[in-house]
Amino acid sequence: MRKNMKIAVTVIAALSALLIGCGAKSADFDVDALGNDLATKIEYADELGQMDLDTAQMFINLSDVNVVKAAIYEGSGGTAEEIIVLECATEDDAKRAEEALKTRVSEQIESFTDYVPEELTKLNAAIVKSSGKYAVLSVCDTPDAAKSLIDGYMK
Amino acid sequence: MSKKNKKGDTREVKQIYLSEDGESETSVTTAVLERPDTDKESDEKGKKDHSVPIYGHGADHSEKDDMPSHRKSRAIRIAAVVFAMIFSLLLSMSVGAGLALWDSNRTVADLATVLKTKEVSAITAAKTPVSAKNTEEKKASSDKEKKEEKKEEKKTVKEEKADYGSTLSADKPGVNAVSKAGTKDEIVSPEDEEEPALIDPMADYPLEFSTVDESYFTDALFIGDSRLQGFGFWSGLPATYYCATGFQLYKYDTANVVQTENGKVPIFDAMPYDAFTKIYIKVGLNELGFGTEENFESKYAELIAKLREYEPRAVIYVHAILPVTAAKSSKDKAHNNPNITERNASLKKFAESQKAYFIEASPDLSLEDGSLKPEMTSDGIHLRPEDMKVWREYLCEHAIVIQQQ
Repeated sequence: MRKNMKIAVTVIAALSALLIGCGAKSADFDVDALGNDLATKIEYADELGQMDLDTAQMFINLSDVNVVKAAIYEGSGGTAEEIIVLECATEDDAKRAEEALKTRVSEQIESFTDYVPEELTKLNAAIVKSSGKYAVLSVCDTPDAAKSLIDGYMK
Repeated sequence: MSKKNKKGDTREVKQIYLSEDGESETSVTTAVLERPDTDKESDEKGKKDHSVPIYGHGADHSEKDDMPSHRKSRAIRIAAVVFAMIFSLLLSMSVGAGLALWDSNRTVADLATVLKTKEVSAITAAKTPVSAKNTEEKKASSDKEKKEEKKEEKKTVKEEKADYGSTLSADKPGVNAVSKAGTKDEIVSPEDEEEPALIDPMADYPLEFSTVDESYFTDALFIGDSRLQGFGFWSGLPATYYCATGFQLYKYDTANVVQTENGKVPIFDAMPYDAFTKIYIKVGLNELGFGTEENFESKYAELIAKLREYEPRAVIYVHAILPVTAAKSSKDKAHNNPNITERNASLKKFAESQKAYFIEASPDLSLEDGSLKPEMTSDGIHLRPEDMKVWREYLCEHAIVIQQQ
């Protein structure tokens, strides 16, 4: 019986740990911090400048996304390199934002196929991810480094 | 074991013991039913004989009548396990809720929203205080209202004009169509006001350039390639931009350029009617190496004619092709400065033939040899964001002003 008790306590402890893990949501973070890290800790062929959300909506459809805050970096036009980090109002908004970012990548692939085919390597390795109420797009020459930075903020 | 409740009745009690060597031994004893309170000697005897006290009907329900100890301990253990499970469950939910509330910006309504998304919190959500539910509902409806307001705000004059234009463009737009569009915030439908005479932007061609401020561009449309798109991104001029990476004149009517709520569409699928009084067209670099000069100008003329149908009051600007750096020029057989210079010379004549205004590239962008300044570009072609202001200033200093009624 004592052995059964030990087993029961172990199972309960494990179950509790699992539930605690599930109960904890992704930690909040500042999109500006991730955007800045992506812009400064990764090398880009282009010179990226920070862009406001309204201007960005010239090329990305976020009409059905409630964006709370955005960190957006775009190049001069000669490359497909860009950074878009969005904090949305809800997880559903973040998922819609993720779809919009995927569409962005598809459109860029279409544009650069005949324009600058060399950029397709970056576009095909683009990172598009959403977690909680956050969504991110990163197009660069070193996607592994970008992914590592992103994973540090978005679990 | 059957129960007998008559004094003096006996029964055999078989007890099985496990000896030290692991073998079982059976012991059979005879128990005598007794009334403990009335037979003290029997109690003592029962104790000596290790008899099992038997609960009988009519016996005195003293302490000896309680649940057997082994059953009691088992019940306690079961209760302990159940309690531990419930406690763990509540603890995990509390920790999750605590983490949600750690951020001081969170409200109870946010907590309810967080918990609502988790399966284990179905119980807690059901027990959410009414005040929090009301707060959540209010917040949800408030968010919905804000979103609706935002959509309404996003419905700029351009989109309103698109709605307006969509009813008119089905008919042939003519000079009798009326719309005041001095600024992006003004639009008047024909039913609202008298019909003023349409000012022909080519009536007094050519006019002299004037210097304007950025408000001049609020009803300006820019159509072109990635360099013009970059200008739209970084110049800060409050105009409308139908530009795209890799945009080519030969595909102006099919290329998906304009971002709308329904995705990207070709220029004339988004073009409102009579919304712009200035249209800048900058193409030519991507077309170098494709087709002939005649084909290029023929397509350009086609584009201008169609733009004038949609925007009868618009001054048309034919913008020169910007140079590239000397380094880029020397490596590229098609997109080099000699070809650009030659094409620009043709474009200037072409613009005059169309009664359009030719806009040179700003001399501040280039070196004495006419090549693009290397410090102004990262790839030899596209201007850096901070250098767009040079281009912007040049446009402000070379504007055609036509008085509109």
